[in-house]
Amino acid sequence: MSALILEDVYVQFPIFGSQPTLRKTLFSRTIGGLIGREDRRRNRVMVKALEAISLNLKDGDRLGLIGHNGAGKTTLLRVMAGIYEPVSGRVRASGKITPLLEVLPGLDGEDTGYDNIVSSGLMLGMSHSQIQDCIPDIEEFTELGEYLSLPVRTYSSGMLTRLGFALATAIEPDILLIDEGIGAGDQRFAERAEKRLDALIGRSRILVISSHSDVLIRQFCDKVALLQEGRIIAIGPVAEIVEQYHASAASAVNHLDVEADKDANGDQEEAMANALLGDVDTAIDQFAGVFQEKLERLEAANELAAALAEQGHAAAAADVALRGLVTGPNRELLESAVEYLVAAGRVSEIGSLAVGGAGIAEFEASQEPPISIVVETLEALLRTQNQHVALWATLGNLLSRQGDHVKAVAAMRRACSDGTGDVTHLLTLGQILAANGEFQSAADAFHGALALQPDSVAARDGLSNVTRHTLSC
Amino acid sequence: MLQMNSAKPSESINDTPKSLTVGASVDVLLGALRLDVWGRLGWLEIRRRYRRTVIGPFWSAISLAMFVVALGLVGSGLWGQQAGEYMTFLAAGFVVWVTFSSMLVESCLLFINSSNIFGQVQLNYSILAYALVWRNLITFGHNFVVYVILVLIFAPQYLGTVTLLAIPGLALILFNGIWIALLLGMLSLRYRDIQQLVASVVQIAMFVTPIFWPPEALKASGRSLVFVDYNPLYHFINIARAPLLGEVPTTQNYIVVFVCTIVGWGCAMAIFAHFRKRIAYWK
Repeated sequence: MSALILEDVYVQFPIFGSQPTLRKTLFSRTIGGLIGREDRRRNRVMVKALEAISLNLKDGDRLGLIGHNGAGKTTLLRVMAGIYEPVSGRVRASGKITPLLEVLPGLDGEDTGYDNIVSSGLMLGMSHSQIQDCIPDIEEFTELGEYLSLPVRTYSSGMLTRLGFALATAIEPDILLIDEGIGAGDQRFAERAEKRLDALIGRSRILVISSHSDVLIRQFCDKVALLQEGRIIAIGPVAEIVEQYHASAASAVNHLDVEADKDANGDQEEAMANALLGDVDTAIDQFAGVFQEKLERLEAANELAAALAEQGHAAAAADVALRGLVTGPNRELLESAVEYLVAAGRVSEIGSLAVGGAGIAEFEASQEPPISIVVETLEALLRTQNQHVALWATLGNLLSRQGDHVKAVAAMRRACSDGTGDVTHLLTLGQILAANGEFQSAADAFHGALALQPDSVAARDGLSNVTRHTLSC
Repeated sequence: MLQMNSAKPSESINDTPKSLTVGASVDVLLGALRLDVWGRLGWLEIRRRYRRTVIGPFWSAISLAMFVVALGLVGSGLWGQQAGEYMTFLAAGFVVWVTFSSMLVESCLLFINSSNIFGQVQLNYSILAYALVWRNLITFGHNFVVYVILVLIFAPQYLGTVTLLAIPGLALILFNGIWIALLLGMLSLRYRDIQQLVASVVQIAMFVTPIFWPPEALKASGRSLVFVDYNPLYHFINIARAPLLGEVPTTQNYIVVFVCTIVGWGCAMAIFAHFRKRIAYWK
């Protein structure tokens, strides 16, 4: 039987070495906890990180913590883990607590993966023999293979995530505390992680996840606490609180300078709030009415999307831009839509945008075809985000559709090069190569796909096709 | 209402109400029991420091040997002593001094450099202090080879049952290393000036403490009082060095060290009890 009870917990940080000028800037910012001086005489800057937090978690609870940057999510996790002892109030816990925060405890880049498993395991309260017992499991789950014998500094951040996650979940903690960022692994890993976590939760333990993306929270939690400026302002079922979070996100816009007059300002906020809540049509209309000379619907969509993106609501911005594109063809809006979709992590939707599917207005024959606009935008984005595997894959697919096989192959190779090896990317690469007549390289790609997923029918078919062609040549 | 340094008792994570002093004592005691953790931490630190070198920690011994031989040749001329005997004296003093001074200097980084541990998981802070003392003992073991070689070559007459007194002497030094690590670790985490201060004091202390020069060289004078009799570092060095040179440490040596041990542990525990909960916040 595990339990985690917080009673009226307060936490505040002293900030040493802050200059008066820094203090001024701290006072005027809009995110984070409240900052005040403890007392004037000592002139010490204190950040009130948590205020009056009370929680009661018992077996089977899966709590999500949601809130803006600096709302106190990580601090609250640290308090739960016993790392920060509260200034007042108390924390009671029964059961073994395993925190998985930014990095594994005691992680050192110079030590090998195996060394770090042992060190961190010991610090997380395991014995040497327990650690030895779970090493095969970690080897299997992380799929890091030989890498485990190399210094951890050679790992990519995704590999580190795998290692940390594997260790934390091998421990079978009674209370598992996870900070955001754990979902940073690739798609395939995320699915496996979910299975593993699900199995762990199934054994009736307590889970607390902090995140500002609601995807993770919706996936794992049955209860959400919304934090703002160090307070829990709402707690309840996932759907309800997440909605409230988005609404508060929109109202947070209030604090930011908007040059329009008060009424217009109100309308604009309302428009943004509506967009965040998913009522995109109303939002665009409202936004169009904000300005004296009524904006065209298309322009309004463009402006509203830009305003939303500026506030960091990429998903809502993308929704608005997509809706705007239904109204009429517009190069600028199409480019922004691609950018917002990438920012919102919805890369898979870019493809249909490029081929004019899903209710996108017809681009006139006189205009450039949407596919080449999207390709150009993607190429521009990839100049800065050249590690974005999914984006490379999308670009590769589009280029192949345009008939530019050479560039398509180059892009698909980039998509396959990060080592995590997504099977579908390898298959596409193989197909493009085969269509291009490069049967030998195509065979290599299909072999690669088979190595990752031996039962892949598509890879077998591709391979036998390629072999047939090679023989007939 | 939210005074940060209020001394009111508070509950631990396990809901056993305990006073701050008890909390600190429990930390120090339970920390000592986690031999698996601090043993590994200390050992890994040594391994990291000498990673990719061929002879590893013996580099520390080699640099000490070079230092002792070079200084031995100069110093024996200065003090008009036999080079061999003076080198043995230097080596004995230096292996002890290096251990003591590097504990002092490293103590300042105790908490500053380990936020990757105590920011991530709840651990007894004393574990870090034990790891620090343990890794200095490992280095001492390597450095000690220099003394052994020199004493066997130049002054085997020093060796005898008296030499065994060096073991309790060293143990006392290491035992003091724990409170020093906790105290300096906390102070320099909060006030980063301490680190600079300790570094310069240690550097000067090396010259004014009788390590290069025999304590008798100052004769009985006001200077001798200040730099020898009233210098606790001398007494700490001597409880381990004298046996290595075939002498029994003086009663005065032991008294000073015992007093320092009691007062030091007392102060360190008082401060540790008071500020232990704030350490995580100070980083």
